[in-house]
Amino acid sequence: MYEFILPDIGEGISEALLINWTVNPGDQVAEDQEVATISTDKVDVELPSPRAGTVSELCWKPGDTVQVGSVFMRIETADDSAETPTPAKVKKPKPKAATPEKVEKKPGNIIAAPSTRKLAAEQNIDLSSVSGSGPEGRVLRRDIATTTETKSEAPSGVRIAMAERMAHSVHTLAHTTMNFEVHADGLLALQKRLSPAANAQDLKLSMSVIIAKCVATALTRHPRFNATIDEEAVGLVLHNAVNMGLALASDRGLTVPVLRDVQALTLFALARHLGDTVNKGRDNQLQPADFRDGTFTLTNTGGLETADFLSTRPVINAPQAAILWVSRIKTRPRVVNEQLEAGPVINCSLSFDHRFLDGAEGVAFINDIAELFEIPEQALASE
Amino acid sequence: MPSRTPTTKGRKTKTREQEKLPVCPLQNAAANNIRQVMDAEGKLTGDLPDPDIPPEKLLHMYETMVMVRAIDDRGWLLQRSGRVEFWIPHCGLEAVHNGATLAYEDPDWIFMGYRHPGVMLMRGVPLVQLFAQFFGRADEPFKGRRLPTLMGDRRYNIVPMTTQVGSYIPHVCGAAMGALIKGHDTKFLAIFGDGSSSRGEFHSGMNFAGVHKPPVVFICENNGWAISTPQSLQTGSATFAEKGDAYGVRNLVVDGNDALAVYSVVKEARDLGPDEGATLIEAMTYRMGYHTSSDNPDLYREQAEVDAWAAWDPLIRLRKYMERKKLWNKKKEDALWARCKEEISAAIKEAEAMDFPHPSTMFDDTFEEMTWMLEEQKAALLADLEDLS
Repeated sequence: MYEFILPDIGEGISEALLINWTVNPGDQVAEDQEVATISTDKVDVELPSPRAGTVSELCWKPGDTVQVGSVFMRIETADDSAETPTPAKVKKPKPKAATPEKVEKKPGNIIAAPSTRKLAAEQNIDLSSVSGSGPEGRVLRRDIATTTETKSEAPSGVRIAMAERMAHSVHTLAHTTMNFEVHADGLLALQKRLSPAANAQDLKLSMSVIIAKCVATALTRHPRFNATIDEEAVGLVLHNAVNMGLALASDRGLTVPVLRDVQALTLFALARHLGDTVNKGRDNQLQPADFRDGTFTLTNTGGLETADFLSTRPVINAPQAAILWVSRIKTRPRVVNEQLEAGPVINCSLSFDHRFLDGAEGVAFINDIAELFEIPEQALASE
Repeated sequence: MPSRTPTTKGRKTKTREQEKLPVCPLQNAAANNIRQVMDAEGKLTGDLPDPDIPPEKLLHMYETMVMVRAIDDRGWLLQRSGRVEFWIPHCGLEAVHNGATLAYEDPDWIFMGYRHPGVMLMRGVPLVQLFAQFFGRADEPFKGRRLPTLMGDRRYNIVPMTTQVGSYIPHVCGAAMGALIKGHDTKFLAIFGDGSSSRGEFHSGMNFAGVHKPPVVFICENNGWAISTPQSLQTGSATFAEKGDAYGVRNLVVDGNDALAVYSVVKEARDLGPDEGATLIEAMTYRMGYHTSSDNPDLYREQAEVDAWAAWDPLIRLRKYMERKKLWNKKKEDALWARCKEEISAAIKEAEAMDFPHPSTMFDDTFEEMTWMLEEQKAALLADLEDLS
């Protein structure tokens, strides 16, 4: 059985996303025949088979993030010799005529290989506190290993990608956040009026759908917020289509699938689209294309909240220029007609990149969002 | 030359989509002052005469060009399936280095760049040696230590490529000057890319060549891209060749996809008398493939430009020329490709079965006698390896 190990095909790639297989278990493959398409940070790549034979096992599903160096697929080769991708054979070095002189050990000197020193440094261990079990008290890697009892979380590909993107965004973009509260009677009323019709079509009209539609309408009025940052040109690239990223929590970390052309979809079409996307996300079935070309992100923590969240500081999903967080709708004290009363409100936080968008633009955008949330029918009526 | 005029300084403007479809400059060779023998159909329409290379030599060159193309096709797949660590494609560049090598005699010295495996093959280096190098095996001249496709072999008077592009331009001047002083009639050839012209060594070398007239032909293989840097961001001058004017070095631009033209101008420059000095030849060609296996050219260039150049494929042009001369036909073509693929498969099989170098050998060959520091490091590595096993 031949194990095809996922190679580092891009000089420093640590993982790749499996897009699809082009062979099935049981298929005959020729040497160099394409077997899969994978996506790395840089490029989509067609992987050829290193061996001829019968496909015995495809070890991953499309949508999986595969670490370089892990077994990608198994192939029953014709001769079925236990081949490995890189022969373990190593040429024996020629014996040296003279052995090198022993290195004099100075008192107080710690003997340890550079890799052992590195391991110790990484784990913040003072080598002088470790008693070496090697010859002449040499500190070995296993001496370090027994010293430590920490447990590190194995990071998932999604989490690594998120760590890099979030750090880039926070360190590069001039994050500015504005918080606001809107009365939510209109949103609830619309949901109540339309839900029977939606249910009749086997659709769930969630509040996220109505909010996404309202925000898309606000974005068409404020195209500078429906934009991506071109760091090289030091400017914004404005987009006609509202491709709204929707932040979803999953057990593998945060993912942000993109709903395309939200401005052009009817509320029910959007509901269907969103429902499908959420289901696919839950089942890890989202494809790389489902994450691309976002122009704005909406993050809605409603389903997760039990405490009262009045504001957050959402981190912009660069290269997008802005992000909106909305809370669940809850009953809170509010002022209506100069009177204090209890009623439904929604809390929101808008973060934008102040390098390219200014406060006055933010206020104008928020004013329109608030108006659309209060009278969401406008979002359905807008051109 | 249209589209070669310097644009406003700084970054690329985003109006490429509005521009007309790109035209391969070889199509208007005369207007662009590009020396040429044949057109895209292998017809003798250029300003240079047919060099009438003897059939045996011509076929040797063409067969090597096809082998070079076949190696690239296969090497790319070997990299993608993880059998070769890294790949530097050379598709589309076959005419420049094969035509130039043919113009040189075997005792002459060649300082090659990457993307030039034909230099090795033209001089008779066995195919299996190339693949042993690609696979990083111990029993090849570099002992498995170099990045795949960075070639060379001093036994064939081919100086191993220095990864620092252009760094070898002063070296070739020095070597040629040495031959000149000693009264040898050895000639020298250096091939480097357009990006190398931005390095200091290019200018030092050109200045030296202008003053001291060593017997060198410099080929600036202008393949359009230095990784992702286009010519418009590489130089403010209209051609790379004209840089020779500033240094008093004879220069010209040649159609780099016309193996006959490359051969003709390189041969003429090589055969110049001892007082006539060096020549800088800009060979206009195009890197059809990725910069390396780590690249993604879709991020910086338009497919339409690649397509425009594909119509001027150096292999097809030379084949059509040979067909006109009744030296070639479809049957021979098919047989040649079949043979190349077969030989490559055999070479892969043989090379891949060879041993890897032992890690401890990395300390060898750095000093005539190993220093105490290296001895210590080597001992530490061996202890560490033992520890790990």
